[in-house]
Amino acid sequence: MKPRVIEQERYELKIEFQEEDHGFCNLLRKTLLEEPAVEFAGYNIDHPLLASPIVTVRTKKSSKRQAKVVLREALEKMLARTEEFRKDVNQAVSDYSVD
Amino acid sequence: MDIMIIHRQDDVIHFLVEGIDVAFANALRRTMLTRVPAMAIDEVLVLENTSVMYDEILAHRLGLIPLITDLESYNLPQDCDCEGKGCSLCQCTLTLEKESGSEDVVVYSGDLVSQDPKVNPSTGEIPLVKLAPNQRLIIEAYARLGTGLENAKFQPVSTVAYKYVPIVEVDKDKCTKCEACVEVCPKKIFVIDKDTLATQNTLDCTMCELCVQECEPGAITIGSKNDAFLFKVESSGALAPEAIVENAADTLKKRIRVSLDFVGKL
Repeated sequence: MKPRVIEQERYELKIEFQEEDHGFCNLLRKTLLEEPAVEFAGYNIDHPLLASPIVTVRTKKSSKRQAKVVLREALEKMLARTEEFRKDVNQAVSDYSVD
Repeated sequence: MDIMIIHRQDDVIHFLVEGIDVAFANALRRTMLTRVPAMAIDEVLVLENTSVMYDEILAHRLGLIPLITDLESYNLPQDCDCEGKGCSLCQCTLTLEKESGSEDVVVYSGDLVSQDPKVNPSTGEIPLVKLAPNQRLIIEAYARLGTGLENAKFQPVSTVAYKYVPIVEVDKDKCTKCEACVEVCPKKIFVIDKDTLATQNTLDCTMCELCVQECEPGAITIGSKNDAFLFKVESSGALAPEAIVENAADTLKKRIRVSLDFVGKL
């Protein structure tokens, strides 16, 4: 994971996530789209052999929400969910071995 | 989020996760496939090989043997202090010496002798090569950690898949109890219980919808939940299946953290 900014404006952000794949980018895209202020969120992989997807996020100007803030919130949401999953898996595994 | 382990046996784990979306399920699946490290033989020194098999093919076969992985004691070569040159912290040596006397001999993965007792082939029953009388094999192999991203031999899983949770519904008013569905269902979901059609083990349903086609009055509908997934993780033997799931969640967390740090600095 090596992120790099391609384009940055107040309401639009393009970031290249080197060494990443559909797994991470699609999750990020779906999480971004949960936020109503997001006008567009997507990612593009130039060639299937390249591992350098570019994630684009654009927020509605009327919402006055900066793209980077929305992106940060989405990542925080993803982190919280993954942490919850990690905790629940641990719990499920220890519950199962008790049975 | 609700997780329930349905079945756990040797190298397989089946579990149900409720309250996640497809994107998260797929991110997990892909992480288990390509990002969870496992041990495999990556370099082979052939000292003597008088068998009929070429050195390269033998080396390839050795590379594909799943090795029991000890993630605590080994580093990924790129993260190691030796900068990937190969040291005892990122590499494990295995040797193989076998000679056939006057009889044919089959060389198995179990004939490999490891320098580290924790790193061994997960099964000793994989045939590598057959030696004819008076043939000999002396080999030194170096195993290291790697990820499925580099080469599929480093994948800790042989299968990792998820499916939607099926919902099988029978309209009791329409059902004529013809038992056509009982016959046709490959997973034996339907049973006649006290003169009414009942369902059992609905999680096994593959959603082939043969029952829907067979049911003339149209009493059966097959649907699915869209926020619950049934995972099946089958380990190659490198790691315990639940360790693979836990490690995948940790790896995903680490990647999200890196990007979060980056975005935080914008």
